Amino acid sequence: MHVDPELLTLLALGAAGTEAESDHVAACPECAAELADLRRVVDLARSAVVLTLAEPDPRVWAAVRREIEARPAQQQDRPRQQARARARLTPVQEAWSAASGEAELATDDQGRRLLQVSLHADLPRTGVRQAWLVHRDDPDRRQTLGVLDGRHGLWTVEQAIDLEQFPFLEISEQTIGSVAHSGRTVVRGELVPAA
Amino acid sequence: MGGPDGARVTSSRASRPSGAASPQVDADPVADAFRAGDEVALADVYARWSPVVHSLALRSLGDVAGAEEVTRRVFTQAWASRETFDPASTRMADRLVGLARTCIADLQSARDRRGRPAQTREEESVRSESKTGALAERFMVADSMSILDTLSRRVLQMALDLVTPAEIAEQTGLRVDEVRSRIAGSLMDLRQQLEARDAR
Repeated sequence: MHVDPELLTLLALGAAGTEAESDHVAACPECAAELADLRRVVDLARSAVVLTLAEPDPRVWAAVRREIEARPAQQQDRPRQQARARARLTPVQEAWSAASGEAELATDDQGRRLLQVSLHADLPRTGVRQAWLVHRDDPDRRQTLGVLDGRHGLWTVEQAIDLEQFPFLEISEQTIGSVAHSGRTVVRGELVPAA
Repeated sequence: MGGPDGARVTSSRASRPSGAASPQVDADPVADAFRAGDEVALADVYARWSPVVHSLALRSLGDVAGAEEVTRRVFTQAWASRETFDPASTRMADRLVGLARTCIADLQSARDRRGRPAQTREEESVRSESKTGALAERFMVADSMSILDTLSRRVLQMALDLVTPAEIAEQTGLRVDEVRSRIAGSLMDLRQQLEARDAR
């Protein structure tokens, strides 16, 4: 049988208990520990009463806002992406036999499909590399995604493009300004659903 | 064992009065939204905790300009590093107070560097660091007291001033047993807030 917790708080505040209560607390490690613990809370509370909580001047909040707005995107959540499909890109022509690459298609938290391409090849100083999605059955049907920036490319893929129908990703060597596929394919691979 | 006064003795600790069912550890929707980058949550967090941060800095540094600098840094840093903040393991208040202590120490040492021997500086910085830690705890308790309802706060303050429950009852119009249970409930609340911090 222990001393009532309510009474222990009063004892902790400095009230005098009955002799029986004091005897019990003195003899009972559990009650003694509880009382010591409550005394610590009481001491802290007494020392805290004298403190005043002061709100900062509104200009501090204004400064916080300014600073946050000044550096928005870079640390802001990188879009959370989920990988949907991947492609291993391999050479198809003798001229690019040392080239390779990989691609990953992911959806971000807004449902956009992002296609990222990395190309491993010694690139000539002239021209650009262009990415294409090629039809499964008809290699003449293709849709361009755009031009790589050096060895890397990142595009959003229009929802209307059915990747079941256009599963092949191709990187071609292009002359700047040309519109049609040059026929000089650097690498090619099939987008297969990610495990 | 146990006293003759059976009514004031219980057999178990389990029945001890406590304000909330569990410490404020778990669900904190504001902290979750903060972490996810919600600027409204930042405003909420600032409104809720800037007085503690600012007052702690003001008391530690002794001047408003320094305290404002610390407050600004704490909230911009908390925001910039929000993705590494885990509300499940750290309470927002503790995170902010931790950042505040670092900022205060930085400002203090920057000020101290202006012309005092290295050894003195080191001793002082250790001393002021532990002082800030103890002070932070007191401010957290002051905050816990400030969010008690008005009557409970008044009752607790009187009890801390050694006013007896009978006298408090007389002054507030509450019954003596109500006074006692309010005092106990408030102290248990304060303890729970402290324990939630110590538990980590």
